[in-house]
Amino acid sequence: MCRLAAGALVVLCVAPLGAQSWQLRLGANVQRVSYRAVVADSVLSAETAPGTNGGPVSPDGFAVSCFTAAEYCYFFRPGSEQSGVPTSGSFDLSMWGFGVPGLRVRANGRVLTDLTGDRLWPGTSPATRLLEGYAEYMNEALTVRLGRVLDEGRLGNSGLGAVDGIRASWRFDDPGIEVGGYGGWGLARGTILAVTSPAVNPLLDFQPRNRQQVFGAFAAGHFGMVDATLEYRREIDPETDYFVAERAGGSVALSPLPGLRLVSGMDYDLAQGHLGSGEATLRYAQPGIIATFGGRFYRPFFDLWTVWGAFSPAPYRGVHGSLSIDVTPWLQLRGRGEWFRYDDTETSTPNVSIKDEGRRLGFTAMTRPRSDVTVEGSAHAEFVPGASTRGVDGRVSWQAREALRLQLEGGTLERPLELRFQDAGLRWLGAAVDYAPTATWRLGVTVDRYWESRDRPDAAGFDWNQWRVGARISLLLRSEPDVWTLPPARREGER
Amino acid sequence: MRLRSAPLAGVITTLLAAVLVVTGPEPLPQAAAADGFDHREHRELFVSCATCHAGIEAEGAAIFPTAAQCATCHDGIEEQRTDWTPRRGPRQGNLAFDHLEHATDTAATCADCHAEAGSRWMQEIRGPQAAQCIDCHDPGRGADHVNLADSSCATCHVPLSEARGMTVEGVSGFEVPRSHDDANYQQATAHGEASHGVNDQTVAASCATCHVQQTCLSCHVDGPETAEIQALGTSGPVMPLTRTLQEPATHEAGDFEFAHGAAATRNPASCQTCHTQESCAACHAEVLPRAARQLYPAGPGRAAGAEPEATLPSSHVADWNDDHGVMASANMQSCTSCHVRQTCLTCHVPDPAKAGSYHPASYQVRHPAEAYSRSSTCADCHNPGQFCQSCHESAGLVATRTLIGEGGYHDGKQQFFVGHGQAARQSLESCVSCHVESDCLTCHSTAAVGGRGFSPHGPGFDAELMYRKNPTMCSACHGMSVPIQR
Repeated sequence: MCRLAAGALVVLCVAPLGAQSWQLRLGANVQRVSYRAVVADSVLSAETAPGTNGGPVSPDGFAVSCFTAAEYCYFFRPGSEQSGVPTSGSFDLSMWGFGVPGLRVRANGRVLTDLTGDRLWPGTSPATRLLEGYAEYMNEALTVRLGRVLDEGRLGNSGLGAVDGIRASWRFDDPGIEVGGYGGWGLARGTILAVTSPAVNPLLDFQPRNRQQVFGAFAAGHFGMVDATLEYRREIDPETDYFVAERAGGSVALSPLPGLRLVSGMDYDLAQGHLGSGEATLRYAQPGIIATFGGRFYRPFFDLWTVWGAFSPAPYRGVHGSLSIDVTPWLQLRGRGEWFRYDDTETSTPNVSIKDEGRRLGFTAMTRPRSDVTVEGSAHAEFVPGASTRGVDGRVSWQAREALRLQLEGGTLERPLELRFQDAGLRWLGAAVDYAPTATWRLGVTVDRYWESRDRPDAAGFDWNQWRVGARISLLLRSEPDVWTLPPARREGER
Repeated sequence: MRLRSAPLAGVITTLLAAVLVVTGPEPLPQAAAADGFDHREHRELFVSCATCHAGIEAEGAAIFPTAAQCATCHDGIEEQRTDWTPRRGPRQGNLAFDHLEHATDTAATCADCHAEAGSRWMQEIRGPQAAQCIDCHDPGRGADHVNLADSSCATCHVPLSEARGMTVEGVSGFEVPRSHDDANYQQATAHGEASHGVNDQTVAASCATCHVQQTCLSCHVDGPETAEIQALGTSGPVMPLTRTLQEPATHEAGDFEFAHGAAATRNPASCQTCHTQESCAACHAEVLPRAARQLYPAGPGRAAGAEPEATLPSSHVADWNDDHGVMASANMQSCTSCHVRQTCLTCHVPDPAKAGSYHPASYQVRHPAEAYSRSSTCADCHNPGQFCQSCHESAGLVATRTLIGEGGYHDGKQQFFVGHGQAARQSLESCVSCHVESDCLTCHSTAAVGGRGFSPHGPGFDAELMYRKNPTMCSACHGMSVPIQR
């Protein structure tokens, strides 16, 4: 990692000397957040007493869990308020014009900290992070990237990850086919950090000592009505030479008729011998109406560095649909729903009943009473095994000027948890301002007020209100010759 | 007043010939009046037009009389002097008329064109009218001057680029053919097909009569490559058309943003009339697709073409954030048309300091429901350790290997601990946001590594395959006695 960072630094320092063109976006974000934790506690079984609901409670009124014949009963009491001010600075630099047509250098990184020094908010550690950093050569057929590059397919490092290595592809215009591959050292799942980083192992569990080696190949075809991609990816533990993961997948988008589009994808876990996740959605779109209908198969992916795959996580299968209609030029109605059911887990017990199906629904009405005002109201509900929510929310956006947008929003929701005795309710109001005085500067401020109540018939029920404030700024700098806009279409009379 | 017939006849003939200087298909202005020559006043002096306009009958002779010829009468003594001088240089206008040819090869007389039928000699001399030409060349269709067959135009007219002395105002005064009144005439199938030349002509004479290349190049990006346009001349007045590029009906289709790439690949010519490569670059920001590269780059000699505005595709409706993954996997090029990777990284590598982006307000409170059911895969953007476990640890929600109260946290279910298997297999990703392997291996491992031997393996478990891929994983629970080895 250090070598990579040093190499990137050298490139960044040297490259501007030869680059004729460059673009640099600088940004900074800061927000004040807080939450109120819970603290595990215990009490002697002998000190508990029956509560008003029949269960045992501690002397100070907390409902407790007592395992049969255990000496102690356990409970969670409200903890103190914890606040953080996570702050980030980011840069995104692209440079080209090195004298070799098609050559460019790109780097994208962040510096993170928490101004309180506590780093309570997730994702603020480590302090520096290179999101992307590569040199790229591209011509009409060949694209080669060297450095920290994204692997873009559905197998990626969970959707979208990166590889420290090389990625190359070759396009054949006729027929429209692109083939390529990549190789290098992988990163941890869902982040831009190596698996060896302490930040991805906060609970000090098993952690690999070396980064996995990643190799992948892909082929994509674009044939008129059909876009399709096939992928293969394997990850190897260099210490043992055993597989960390091996998967293959495919995605296809098909447009059989005007307005009709089928999008589908599926992956297969070759290392564990079962289907991963897949989905297929049929979409019909015509002016004023968009409808979708599809099915989904979801199974979580675990690599072979963990034992979780051997715990046989159950997949679920579901169907979903949505409809969006422009009732009038100023009113749009949208609805969306999904229903799913888990496969048999072969673990059912009469002692505990847990649902095995879920559903979610959402409705939205959006209107534009004026060209610069958008009003939107939504209602949503999710009833799924383990947790549920339902609520309504709304927002009003006003494009006061071309450079200035104001937004007010608010809502309420209930959040019962199936597996925990807690009915939480939340109301909030928020305001946001976006201001982009020039193409160079962009500023934003958000202020939100939350009122949260946790309804429990014991001492663990408490209200928790807070302010959240956020601000952001971005600055775009670039070499003058590249402040380029399209020439206007030439009309008669304008010559 | 004494008549001097010969010289004066030459003057008269000259002035009469001036009448023949036509500049367009419309009735010409009265040359006599414009030149100050009154044919009627001189009607008794001359019995033949050729007296003054000798060139209309005699090859090599002048069409107009000289000033000296006029001065034989207008000498300031017998008649007032005149300052008239004959026109020099070639004929002005766009007529392809040859007096000599008409005088020698036809039975037509001067009066057939320059006087009303039946009028008295030199009583009403005027310029020719198109209808009179047509009466001979296409009898019976004199009223349809601008709507005749394309082959008829060149009979009387030279292309506009070869015409002399034409002005924008003059060209603008041309009568407009009926075909141009069709609202769809601007579409390629109408005026494009009409522009094809007949016989050995590349471009229709009807186009060339009124138009030069510049007229077409005000819209046509592919002008330099279009033979019909190139066949037009380049010099000459440009008719001030007020046309604007109209979107073809195909552009209105609901799936146009998806379908146009394939259509453009199949038939790039259908796009390159109005679009340059730069038109495509308005949306295809990163890599120009193949179809776009088949178009012509903007540059001198061709129209700038249509300037599309990048608009939100119809697919990008409110729920697109959740749906875009598969589409992006199938054809990432379609995404990179408008988006740079920074767009993806904004959400896929979340910035903890940024308030609100992918998730709605209040999401921290709301997230358990979506996390349990995985409406979208949390691990696409959040590392379970770095993000979920670290936050849950700060919030006091992790088990920290104590299994405190043997399920005490899950107090919503009586005896959850003894029946947790179903919840675990359904939502294992949620479990591992608070639990580590050691918590589970307390029971779900063999005695060889200190566990209680409860098998966690369920439906679909392929022990042999997983052992083959990575036997060290088996050792975590089975120690050195992995059953598959035996």
